[in-house]
Amino acid sequence: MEGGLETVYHALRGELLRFLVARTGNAAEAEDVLHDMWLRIGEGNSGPVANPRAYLYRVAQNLVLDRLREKKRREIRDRAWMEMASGSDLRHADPVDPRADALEQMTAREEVARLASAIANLPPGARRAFQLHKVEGLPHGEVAERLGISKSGVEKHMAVAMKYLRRALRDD
Amino acid sequence: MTETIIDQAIAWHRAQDDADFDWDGFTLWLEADPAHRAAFDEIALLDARIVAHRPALAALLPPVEGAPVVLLSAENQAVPRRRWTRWAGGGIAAAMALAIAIPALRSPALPVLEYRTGTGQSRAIALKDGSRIALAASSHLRVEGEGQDRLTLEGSATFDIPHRPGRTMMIRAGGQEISDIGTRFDILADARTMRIAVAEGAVAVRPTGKSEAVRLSAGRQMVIDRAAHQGEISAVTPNAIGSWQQGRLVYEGVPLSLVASDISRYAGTPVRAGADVADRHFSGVLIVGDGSGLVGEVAQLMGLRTSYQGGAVLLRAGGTG
Repeated sequence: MEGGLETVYHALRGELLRFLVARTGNAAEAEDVLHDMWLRIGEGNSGPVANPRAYLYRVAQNLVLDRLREKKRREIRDRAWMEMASGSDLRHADPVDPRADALEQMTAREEVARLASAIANLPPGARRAFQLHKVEGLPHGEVAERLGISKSGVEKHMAVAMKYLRRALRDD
Repeated sequence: MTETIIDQAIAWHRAQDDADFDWDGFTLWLEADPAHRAAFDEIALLDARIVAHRPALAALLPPVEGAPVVLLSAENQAVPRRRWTRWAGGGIAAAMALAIAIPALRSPALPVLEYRTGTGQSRAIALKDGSRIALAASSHLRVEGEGQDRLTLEGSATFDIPHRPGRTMMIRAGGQEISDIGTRFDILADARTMRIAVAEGAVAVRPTGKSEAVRLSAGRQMVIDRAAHQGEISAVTPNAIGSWQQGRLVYEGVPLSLVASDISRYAGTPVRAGADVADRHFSGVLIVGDGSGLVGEVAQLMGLRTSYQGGAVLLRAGGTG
């Protein structure tokens, strides 16, 4: 199976790189991700793959998201650290200090509360659909059934919810 | 960033898990404008933040099939008062007020303990029987009786009462008497309204001086309008009860007047809800922090204006002028 995936990887290398350049906006980073993909495929953990092309695109997409999240996480940690350090003797502490764990936990708690607040304050229909799908993990079809609306109705609610949440959670 | 681009990003993001997702079309869309990538990043990160905290959010959010969660914003100003029951006969308002002002049957021989907290303070109280009480800011608890089983609360507190055969704890708060034989619950009361939310076990709630009681079990809250003698029972998330101890104020369908008096405990300035908005219901989670941001956050979430009046912050209906 891995052999098949490697073959497809080589065949699609050009278009994957083009996609990654578009997705990251950065040629060097796109090459990095492509290299990570190669390592990922080499690990051979994928199991049988029905549609290798879609699979490779999805791996690329997920790797880019992982990088984005890591970058964001670092930014938030650095900012929280700076805020905490100013006004206390922590400014002389090293950020690998054990207290950094406590800081991360605190940040996580605040994050959860902020997300919960934003979700709780969605328009009622959007909140119900969003919570059932995103938080409770029901597929769109089941959400539609539970709420007695069509699947496209669920999708509309989801889009409304995302727009509201984006506004409510901005600049975090 | 335009709304159209955001809409497109949301649509691409939603479709990306489909087996037949159009990766070529997506690539072309990304290449068409760098703003497309930025919008997609934003949506993907937002989605990832929620997915990452899914279990914690599921525990904190009120269940979808619970009582109506009444939400903010202009489209929601009329509050559906579903499930209101006639809570007590008319004409007992005076009796309730009296019962609060004069603690009944206090023998001078019995020890009375008084606990008070100031703005932004909280206090952990342990009773002889192992009961633990977390008293929120700007609150007052009086403990009476040889068995330390008669309590009077003004303000807000979370109670953790162990079960003891043959013993009943009686708590007076917000014009009600709550009797309890082993449970965890939270009380928030001001002059108008009282909210009791039960996390574990069950309690009996009755207006002071009345014989009829309502049983309230875990996962339920009752919001009592003292003047109207009405109580509304609805579902709440047990894990969120008492979360003020972790610096979060969680409300599910609570009148704005009670929210305002609660945040006054932390804000250092009295906060009041104007008559035009006092009965609006609020659901949401507020982060206490140093207390200074609470009023602004409520105002923003509910689209209200703030002004200063007589040394207090007044919340009023938003709009211009």
